[in-house]
Amino acid sequence: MMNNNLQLKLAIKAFLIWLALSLAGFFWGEHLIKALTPFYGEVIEQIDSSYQTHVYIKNETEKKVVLAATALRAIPIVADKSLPAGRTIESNGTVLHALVPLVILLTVIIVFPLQNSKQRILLSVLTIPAILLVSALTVPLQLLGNLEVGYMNAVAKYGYTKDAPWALEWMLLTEGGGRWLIPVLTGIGCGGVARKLFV
Amino acid sequence: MDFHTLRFVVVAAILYGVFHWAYHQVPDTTLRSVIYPNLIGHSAAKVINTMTPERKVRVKDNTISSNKAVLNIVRGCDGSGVWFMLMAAVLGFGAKFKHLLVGVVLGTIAVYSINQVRIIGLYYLIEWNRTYFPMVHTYFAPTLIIFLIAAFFLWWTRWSMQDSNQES
Repeated sequence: MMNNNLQLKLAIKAFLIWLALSLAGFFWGEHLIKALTPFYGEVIEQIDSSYQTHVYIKNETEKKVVLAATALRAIPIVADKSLPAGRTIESNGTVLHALVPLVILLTVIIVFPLQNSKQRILLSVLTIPAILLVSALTVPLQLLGNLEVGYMNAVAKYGYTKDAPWALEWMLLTEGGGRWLIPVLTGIGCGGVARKLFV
Repeated sequence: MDFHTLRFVVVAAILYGVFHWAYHQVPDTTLRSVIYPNLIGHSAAKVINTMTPERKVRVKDNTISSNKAVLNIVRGCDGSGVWFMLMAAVLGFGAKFKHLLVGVVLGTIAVYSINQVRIIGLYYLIEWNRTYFPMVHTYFAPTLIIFLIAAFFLWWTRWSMQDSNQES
């Protein structure tokens, strides 16, 4: 049973790790997100094959992850209006926003209490697929969801209504707090696997 | 992954989804004109006006404003996401009813207090230098809140387990 001293030590350790990762993310996180941009593009194309994508970092007042999606075929908006094939539309989110789930995931993984070094090594190995999983479930769908918001606005402008597509519903779920829950549960899951495999 | 961890992850994820769905059944107008001013806005304004009476902060619907700063509370900025997460975790943990009740009540108070501190802090931040607002609002504050809530959850789970062991 963990006593109060150990709890306090764990809380202090977690706080320091959170602080270190947050600062590292703030100053250098752009490089990590930049490295992940081809992966984001691949995920978006797997989810929605209507586009050819280019995901890149744009330096504005705030650094942004930009999705430039080129329609591969005409995409209907309302009965007599569509986005023509070859037209490129954009959506974006900030780099800091994209880093939030990763900071949470890495904090959980580093702090997760383990009993031996084998478990720690396995958890370290699991970190890479965990980063990819968390990234796939958050940023690409946020960018795709933002594109869908554009369509919904266009549909509303023409006086019609449209059911929200699942990418938009997922974006709302993640933006409401799901993007915090996903890395927490993924981190706990990875820690649980490491503990189970090397008792 | 052991059964207890797997059950916890699955139940927490499902409960979070249910809470999220229920939250989105509440119309924006109800949040803006009823819930946000009464639950968040007036108490935050009272704290700001007590600490710095010269601000003369006012609340109208979801807006906290003074001559120096304007802060809008929108869907998602009400601490709901963190509260859903914590409640999903507390309910998914599988503690005794008494412990569950303590977790729900204290957890709610913790999330509400932390979010009020965040709202008040963001108001002063906008007033001081609004260029720092996006950085704190989208990056540092959410992750810090998750850390604080995780610390609460850790304390609660240990207390719950210790108390159960002492009883048995």
